[in-house]
Formats: sequence, structure tokens, C-alpha cells
Amino acid sequence: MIGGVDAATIEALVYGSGALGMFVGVLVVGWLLRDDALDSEAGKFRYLLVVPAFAVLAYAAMTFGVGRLTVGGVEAEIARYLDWFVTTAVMVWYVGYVVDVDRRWMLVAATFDGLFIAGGWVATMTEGTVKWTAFGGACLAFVATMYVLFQVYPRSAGEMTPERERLFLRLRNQSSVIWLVYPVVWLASGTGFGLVSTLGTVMLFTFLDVASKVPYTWVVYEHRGVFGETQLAEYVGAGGDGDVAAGSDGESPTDGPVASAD
Amino acid sequence: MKLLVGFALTTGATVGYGLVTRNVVGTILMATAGQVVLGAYLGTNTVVSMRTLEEQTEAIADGDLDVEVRTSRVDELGRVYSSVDRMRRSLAERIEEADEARTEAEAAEARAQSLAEDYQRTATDYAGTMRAVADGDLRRRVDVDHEHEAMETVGTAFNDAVDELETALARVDTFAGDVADGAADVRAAAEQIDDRTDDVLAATDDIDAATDEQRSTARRGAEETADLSATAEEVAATTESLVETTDEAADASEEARTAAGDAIETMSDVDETMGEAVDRIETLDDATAEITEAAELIRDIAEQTNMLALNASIEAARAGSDAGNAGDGFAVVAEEVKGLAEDTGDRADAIAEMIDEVRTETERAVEAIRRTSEQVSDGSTTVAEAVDRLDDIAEAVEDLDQGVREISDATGEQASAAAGVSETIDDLAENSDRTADRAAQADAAASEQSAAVDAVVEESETFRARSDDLLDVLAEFDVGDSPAGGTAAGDGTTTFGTADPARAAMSDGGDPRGPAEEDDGGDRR
Repeated sequence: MIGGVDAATIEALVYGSGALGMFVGVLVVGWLLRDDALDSEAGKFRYLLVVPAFAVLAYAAMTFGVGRLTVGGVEAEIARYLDWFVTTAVMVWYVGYVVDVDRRWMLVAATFDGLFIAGGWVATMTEGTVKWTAFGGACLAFVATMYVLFQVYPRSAGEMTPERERLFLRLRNQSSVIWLVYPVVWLASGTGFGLVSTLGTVMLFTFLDVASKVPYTWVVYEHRGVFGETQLAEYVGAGGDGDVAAGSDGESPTDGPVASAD
Repeated sequence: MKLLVGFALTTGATVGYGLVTRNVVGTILMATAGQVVLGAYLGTNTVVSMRTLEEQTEAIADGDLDVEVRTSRVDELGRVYSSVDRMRRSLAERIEEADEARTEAEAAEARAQSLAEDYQRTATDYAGTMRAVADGDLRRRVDVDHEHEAMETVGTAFNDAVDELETALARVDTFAGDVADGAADVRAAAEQIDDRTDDVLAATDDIDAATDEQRSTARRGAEETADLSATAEEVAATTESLVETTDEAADASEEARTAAGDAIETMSDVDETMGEAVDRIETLDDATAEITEAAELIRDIAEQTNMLALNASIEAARAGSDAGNAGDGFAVVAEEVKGLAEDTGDRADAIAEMIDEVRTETERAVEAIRRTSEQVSDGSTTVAEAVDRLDDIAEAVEDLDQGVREISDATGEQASAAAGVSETIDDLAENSDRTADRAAQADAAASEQSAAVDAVVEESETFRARSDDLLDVLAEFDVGDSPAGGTAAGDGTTTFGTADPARAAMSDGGDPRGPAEEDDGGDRR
């Protein structure tokens, strides 16, 4: 109870704002899909759309209290883990797709990522030795995912142009760093050592989710020239070379968000 | 913009979290999560841009200038990308320019090569003609190349030069004939001069012989006077040393006299001291006489005392028989007095005896002193006599010194007179030397003159030979229309040298020489 408003209401508000935040990501991918200068098939923007869209649905479900379980006095959201299970796998896959990594390795990375999320779910739903074994397994799976992303992906990349490399590095590094915080929050939450309340956990996870997914789509938007109609699309950018039509409008210096970068 | 949005969202999330949950750990976690999100987004963007830029600049550094360097960023990094790309394009342009320059240079080289070949061809043609001209065919002229200005200038100039050379050679031929005639005249004149010079040489030889004799006579005279002078100088030196010796002798006798004076004085002191010693001894003798008298007086007193004691003992014996013990005591005193008197007498005798011995010794000493004093007096007398003798010696040495000085002065004068004579003879010898020198100079001059005349004769001979050579050489040149005109023969081809049979006869068949050298030989006259 805070200021006359009960925790459940606040939780619903947090989830609602999370859904709104995720919707920004949907808008970003929507722009990408509608940009005629881009080859949306080459960019696999439909698959990319899954990330914010699925998150929006999950947060909407959580806002309305759908799929919530209470195990041992601790609330657990099925929708959250389902969201993570799907979206992180897509993100891991898309990182590899950008530089045309061998399909098998993309599958391996997505599998490890899935194990990471599944391990977390098991640890949330169980108690005692099983809980911590599952948590340890999830952490190992996370380390394995990181290994594949940082060691295997660069080696097995099929198309490593400077532009694609830049996009690849940004997506990979940014996501990996943010994901490091998730296990820490999990340990601090009621499922772990109970240092943070359920509402606090909800706020932290919502913030991290929005902060990892929306900028992810935004980075792809910034580097959208990679998926232009011509191969030189990304080169246009700041140089304003009129000979190359593709991407010139999207990457021009007058483009608001890009112009204010950093 | 994005940065501001990011900060606003993360700060809002953190503050909101804190307000809603009031949980410190959760708020810290939220703040950390916000930092991580911002850092992940901004940091990776910058790191990735730098990394790809680094790879691209390395590719450029390795020579791959086709790598385009672009980014969509418009911040500082975007400008760096843009600068690097400009640099890459600029490098590519420079390399292209360098390639073009090289192509142009190669084309220019090819043009130069072609031109050089043209020149070489013309030069080869020219060289053939020039060689023929050099071999003596002065009728040849080069076929002037009008296509190349430089070669045209060379060809025209060469043809002009050969024209002038032809004219000049004709003149040289005439001149060489004149020279040969002149050389013969010179030789005749030189031979006459040579004869006169021989006469002069004979005359100077006579003068030389006479002065030689005069000089040897003078040299002998000079040597003899030099010997005389040397002898006189030796005598003078000897007397000098003698004077030194007599001076030393005078000094020695003076020192001896002074020493003798000292000895006499010392002896007189000794004599005086002895006199004083005798006086003292005599005073002692008087004292001993008084002691003797005193001793005798003591002896008398002792005898009287003894007598007194004898009387006393007699009286005691008498009294003893009368008064018993009193008489005995009186006898004892008398006996003691008697003993004392006897002792005193004995001691006085001993003193008298010792005094006698002292007197005897004193007399002996006085006697010895007297004898010594006499001897000292004798010594003084002897020394005084020695002083007199030394005075005599000093006088004699003085006389000797005087004599030696006179001798020394005389020999000095003699030496200086001899030196004067020697000087006069030296002057004489010098004069004859000068005469001889003059004669030698005259002789040398005549010899040189003779040699010069011989050289003139030789030169004139060589000269004639050279002019013959010149005529021979000129005969080797083929000339078309003779520019000299006067030397041209009727057939239009003049052969120098052979046109004049007389000159041909003078030729000694020497090596042909260049016209310039022959011309130079003509100047020697």
C-alpha cells in the first residue's frame, strides 16, 4: 500500500507502461518494414518485429494478470518467461543473421539461450537443491551462449563487411551487457534471497526488458542502410553521396535521431 | 537527444522505484541497471565505430585504397571517418597523378630518343666528311642538315671553317718558304759571332792564370804572418800566466810575514807570562822561609817544654816520697807534658823537612822557567830574522813581476804589428780574388755567349728543317680552287711543296706536323 494505492494496482501500472515502452520498439520495426528503400526480406524485419511485438503481448497479459502463478508464496509470471524464451532466442539468432553466421551455430546459440531461460523458470518454480541446481545450470547455459556469441560467431561469419560488422558488434555487446544484470536481479528477488519485493522485482525486470529490446530495434534502425536495395546503401550516410539512391534519405545528416547521436 | 532521453528514463526509473518501493537494495539495483543500459548503448556504439575505423585505416595503410570509409554518424567520430575517407581519396588521386606524370615522362623520353637518333645520323654524316678533310682533302664539304637548327649551324660553320683553312694554308706555304731563306742567313751571322767569342775566351784564360799565381803568393805571405802573430800571442799568454804566478808568490810572502809577526807577538806574551810565574815562585820562596822560621821557633818551644817537664818529674819524685799520692799525680802530668813536647818537636821537624823539599822543588821550577824563557827569546830572534828574509823575497818578486810585465807588453805590441801585416796581405789576396772573379765572369759570359751562338746556329738549322717539314705537310692537302690565287697552278689542283723544286730539296723528310704548330715555330724568329 503506497499512498492509498495497493501494490497490485501499481504492478499493473508498471506492466502497462512496459507494454507501452515495448510498443515503441514495434513502431521502430514498423518504420523499417515500411521503408521502400530497404529490402525488408534481406533485413528479416518480420522476424525482428517478433521481439517487441511478443513483448507487448506478454506485458499486456501481465497487466491483466493472465498466466500468473504463486509458488511457495512467491508470484511467478508465466508470460514473462515465455516472452524471454521467445524474444531472447530471436535476438541471439538475429545477431548472427546480420553477419551471416553458419545456421548451425545460430541454432546452438538459440538453444543455449533457451536453456538459460528454462533453467531460470525451473529455479523459480522449485525450492531447495533443485532450485539452485537449476539456477547454476541456467548460469552455465548463459556462459555457453556468451561463448558462442563472442568466440564462435566472429569466426563463422559469412559476410563481414565493416558496416555489417559494426551492426553485429553493437547488437551483441549491448544485449550481452544488459543480460548480465538479469541473474543479479533474480537473486535479489523473492525467488532468490528476497532482498527486493515482488513489486520491486517487477519494476526492475520491466525496466531491463524495455531497455534491452527497444534500443535493440533502434540500433538496427540506425544501421538500416546495411539492408538497402544496393550493396553500398550504408555508405551513403553522412557523406550525402547522391549517386547512390538507396538509404540516402534514411541516413541523411538531417535525420533527427541520427544527427543527435552521442 | 538520445543521451538526454536515456538519462531521463533511467533517472526517472530509479527515482520512481525508490519512491514506490522504499527499498535501498532495489534502488541500488535499479540505478546500476540504468548505468549498465546507458553504458551498453553508448559505449558499444563508440567502441564499435573506433574498431571498424581502425580496421579500415589499417587496410588503407597496407595500400588498399579502395576501402571506402563511411559512417552514418555525424558527431566527432563521424567527422574523423569523413577526414580519413578524404585522406584516402586524396592519396588515391596523388598516386594517379604520379602514374600520369610517369607516362608523360616516358613519352618525352621516347621523343628525345628519336631526336637523338636523328642527330646521331647527321653527326655520322658530318663525321665522315670531317675525317676526309682531316686527312687532307680540303675540297670536301658537309651536306648541311637543314631539319635541325643545331646541326645546320654546325655544318655551315664547318664548311666556312674549311674555306678559311684552305686560304690560310696557301698563305702559310708562302710564308714557310720565306722562313727557310731567313734561317740560312741567321746561321751565317751566328757562325761569325762564334769566332769572335772564341778570341775573348782565350784572353780571359790568360788573365785567370796570372791572378791565380798572384793569389797563391799572397796566401803564403798571409799564412806566414799569421804564424808569427800566433807565436807572439803564445808568448804574451805565457807571460800573463807568469805575472799571475809572481802575484801569487808576493801574496804568499805577505801572508808569511803576517804569520811571523803573529808568532813574535805570541812569544813575547809567553815571556811575560813566565816572568810573572817566576815572581810568584819567588814570593812562595819567601813564604816558605817564614814557615821555616816558625817551625824552628816551635822546635825551641818544644825543647823548653821538654826541659820543663823533666824538671817537673824530678820535683814530683821528690814530692812523692814526701806526700804520697799527690806526688804521683804530679808525676803523671809531667809525663803527659813531656810526651806532648816530644810530639810537637817531632811535628816541627817534619814541617821543616817538608818545607825544605818545597824549596828545593821551587828552585828547580824557577830554573826550568828561566831556561824556557831564554829559549823563547831565542825563537823570537829567529822569527824576526825570517821576517827580514821574507821582506827580501817580496822585493825580489816585485822586481820579477815588473820585468815580466815589460816582456808581456813588448810581445803584445809585436802581435798587433803582425796582425796589421796579415791584414794588409789579406787585402792584397782579396784584390787578386776579385780580379780572378772578374776574369772568371768574363770567361763565363763569353762561354755563355758561345753556347748561345751555338744554340742560334742549331736553332736556325732546326728552323730550316721545320719549314721544310711544313712545306711537305702542305703538299699533302688537296685544294680545289686555290683561294690564294698566286700559288694556283694551271690545272686547278695545287700540290704545295712539290711546286718548288728548290724547297723540296731542303726537306729532310721529317714527320708531318699540324699547320698550327708550324705557324708557332715561325714565331721563334
